[in-house]
Amino acid sequence: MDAFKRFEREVPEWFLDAKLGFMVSWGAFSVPAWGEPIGELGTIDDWKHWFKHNPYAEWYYNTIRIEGSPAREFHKKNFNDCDYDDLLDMWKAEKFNPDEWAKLFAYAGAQYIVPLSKHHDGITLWDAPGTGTRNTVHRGPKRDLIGDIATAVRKAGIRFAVYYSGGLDWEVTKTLPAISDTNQGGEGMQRPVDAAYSMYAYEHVIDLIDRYKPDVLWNDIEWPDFAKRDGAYSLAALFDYYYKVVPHGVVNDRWGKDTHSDYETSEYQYMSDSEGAAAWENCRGIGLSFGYNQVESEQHSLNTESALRHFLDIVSRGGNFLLNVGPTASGEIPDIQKKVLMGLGDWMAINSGAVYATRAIKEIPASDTPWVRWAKKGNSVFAYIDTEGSVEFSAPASLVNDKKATIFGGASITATRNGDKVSMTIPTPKVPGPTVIEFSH
Amino acid sequence: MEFHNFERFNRPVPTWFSDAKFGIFIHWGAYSVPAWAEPTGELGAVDESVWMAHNPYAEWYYNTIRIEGSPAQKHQQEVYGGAPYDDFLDQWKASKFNPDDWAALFAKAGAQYVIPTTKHHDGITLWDAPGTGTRNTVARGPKRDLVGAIAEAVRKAGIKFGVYYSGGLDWSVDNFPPMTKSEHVRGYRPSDAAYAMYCYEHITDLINRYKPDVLWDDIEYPDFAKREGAYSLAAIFDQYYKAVPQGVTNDRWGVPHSDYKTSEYQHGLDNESGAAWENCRGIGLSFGYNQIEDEKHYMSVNAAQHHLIDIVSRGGNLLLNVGPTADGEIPAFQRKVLEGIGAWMAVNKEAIYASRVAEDVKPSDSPWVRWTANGKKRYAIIDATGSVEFDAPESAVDIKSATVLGDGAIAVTRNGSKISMTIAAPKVEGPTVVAFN
Repeated sequence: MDAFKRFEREVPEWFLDAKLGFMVSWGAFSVPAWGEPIGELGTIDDWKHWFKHNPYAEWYYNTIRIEGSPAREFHKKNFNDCDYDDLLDMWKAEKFNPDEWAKLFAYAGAQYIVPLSKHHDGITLWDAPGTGTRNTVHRGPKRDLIGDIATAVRKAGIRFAVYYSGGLDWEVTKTLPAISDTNQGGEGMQRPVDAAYSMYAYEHVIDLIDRYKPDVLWNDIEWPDFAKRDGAYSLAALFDYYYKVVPHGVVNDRWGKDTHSDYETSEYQYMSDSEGAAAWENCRGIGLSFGYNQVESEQHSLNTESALRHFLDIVSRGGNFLLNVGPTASGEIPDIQKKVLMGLGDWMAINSGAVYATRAIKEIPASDTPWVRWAKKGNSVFAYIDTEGSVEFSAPASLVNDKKATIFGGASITATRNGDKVSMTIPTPKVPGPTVIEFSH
Repeated sequence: MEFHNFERFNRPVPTWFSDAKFGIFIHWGAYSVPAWAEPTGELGAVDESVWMAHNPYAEWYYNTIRIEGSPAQKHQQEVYGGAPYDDFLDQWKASKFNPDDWAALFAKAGAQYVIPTTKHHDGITLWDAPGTGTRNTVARGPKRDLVGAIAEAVRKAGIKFGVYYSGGLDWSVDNFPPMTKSEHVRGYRPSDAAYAMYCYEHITDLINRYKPDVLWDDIEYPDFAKREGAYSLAAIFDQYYKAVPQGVTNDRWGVPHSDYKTSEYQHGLDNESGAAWENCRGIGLSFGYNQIEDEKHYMSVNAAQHHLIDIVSRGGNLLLNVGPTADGEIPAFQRKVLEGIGAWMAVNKEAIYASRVAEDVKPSDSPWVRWTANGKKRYAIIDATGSVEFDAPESAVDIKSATVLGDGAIAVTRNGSKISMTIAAPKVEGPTVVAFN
């Protein structure tokens, strides 16, 4: 659309350099904290099955409205089939300590934090215009959670962003049937697209910009169609305002086709086509849900090793990793998640210099046996090698100087070239995770 | 539903409204282009199962054409090839719209206030309302601020200006199926936080721009806004009464506050009592212009006069509707009724404006007599000629003081509680008014 051409520009360097961010999915849905861990988004083709057995605990309000769903049974049995909004009052956040969260995120190496400011349930985590008492300031936690998180993470030197569900708002469409299929009844039945909702979403995001000056605007699902134009209350007017207030800010790609994005997104294994863009970001939970799901155990979750591989694979392909944290209703970060964050942090404490501000070097092939990924920065090329002992891998002489190889941040290491291949002996790493070998020119 | 403190808005009705007696409603919209409905009957007199699919209200066209198998849907298919409703907005040109001419007619008719639709159920606004993008008459169709044009013209003519706003229904913002039953009207309406904000921004914009003397809401108001705080209906009332201290609001918000009650045709007749009320109706069976209607559906001048006088005698106001054509002309049959009321009012307005219910006398249907009071004065409004006799207790009516408005003294004789007199043919069409001091 022509109205959006004026926003085209280079992606700000900070975003390309950041590599690691955390999403924080916290809401009234964190009270039941219940979903069926059936698999990763993008691996289940049957959408009806997906929605009825939704592994995303943050979709609880939708799932419990689907006849015959196990979530519905769970809600009847454990919550006496209460109104969803009653969960907002049960959400107390009594152990919420934003400085502690920020400390953990900083240790883990996050460069930006993206909390949900409004998920699909429509409950806002700040005192959003027009929400009356249906927000966390008036009910439940009785706090401006967005403000608290913003202050704490910025104090810890981390950038602050916001997630906003512009596409779905089940308060606005509460009279519509639950979503049970992506093709359900055409677009209009799926999500609010009208003038009134356009104004509401506009006022919300403008308020977020005014109050918190977020470094990223992370919209979800879509933006209401009525606003995909120029003029008052339009999406173009929203972008105008945002870039004026936050010139270095970036917006993701979920506003709708033919609008505007600074970078593209994928989610678990879904929308993987985005991962070839000039700037992109993959998001996923540590387990199979964004909102905390008490049903999950370690078998559904990433561990430090797999999280690091996922992260470095993304880095090697020029993307950012937005890893999700799903706190409990009381405000604690569950142990399974905390362990992964600590593991990332332990590794990053030594190796972050070989990750931040790198760029992909597509000319060097990645390898899965042994597991090797590559990135470059300045005069250096980095190999992330997840193995010990003797390894051999492709490393063309024109790109990789085997004469100047060091274990990143440590001693030099002997590399032997054999044509396009290089071999070396990797010592046991000091912390779990791949060893980084730096090749300098 | 828990309501908060709407009682704080309750107060005596401003005198101007109780004194006004006669207002003009204007239904003008994209629906005036097809101007098509089945003249089934009056609201309140048509079986509910028939109403929706055969809706006589032409301004409901957008709903009626979406009802499967309805004659309106067939009409839309045959005449417009099933084109989208919004095409009518572009076809609505208002090329002959002359607000001063309208205002002159309304003034001549004796109207004390004029209330145009600023947004009917189709959601199209007749001013450049916030958040409507181009879906309004300023950007499309007439390309004018019609609300502003009407406000300016009627006020220049000395008439008060109110606004109609459909807070209950807005077919552009909801995802509901067509309404096929009466219970859908309240069941299928947007009631959420987003729509509440939208209505708030619209109505406060109307208040800021036009300072309307009446806020006339229709159907209901979004439930989410029926509370205190920012963007609430209470916040609208706060702003409204501050900006327009003498302003009045009607009773269709669905909260425990209204300045006056309303009835519509024969619907809501229970509301026709109390300190202030208003009956609204079209001159035919529709509010929006309906080209299908003919003389047999229209009120005659005489019927319209009877209706006005009957309402006034019972302490109410009549809000009589005009439905202009898409061009902006007031159809001849409507103009005739307004002129007929006006000619009569020119002579007899003393018995109407600022009158109150005459509690000490009784109306009669043969002969047709209605009474009004102003202080000690009593006005018998009599639709008969020749010799008439009717009830008029001596304690209430002094026969020696009788005069015919616009004429002179009249001889009246008393026989117990009854009085008799000979009424001459009136100089203007309509009932004769005999005033008693």
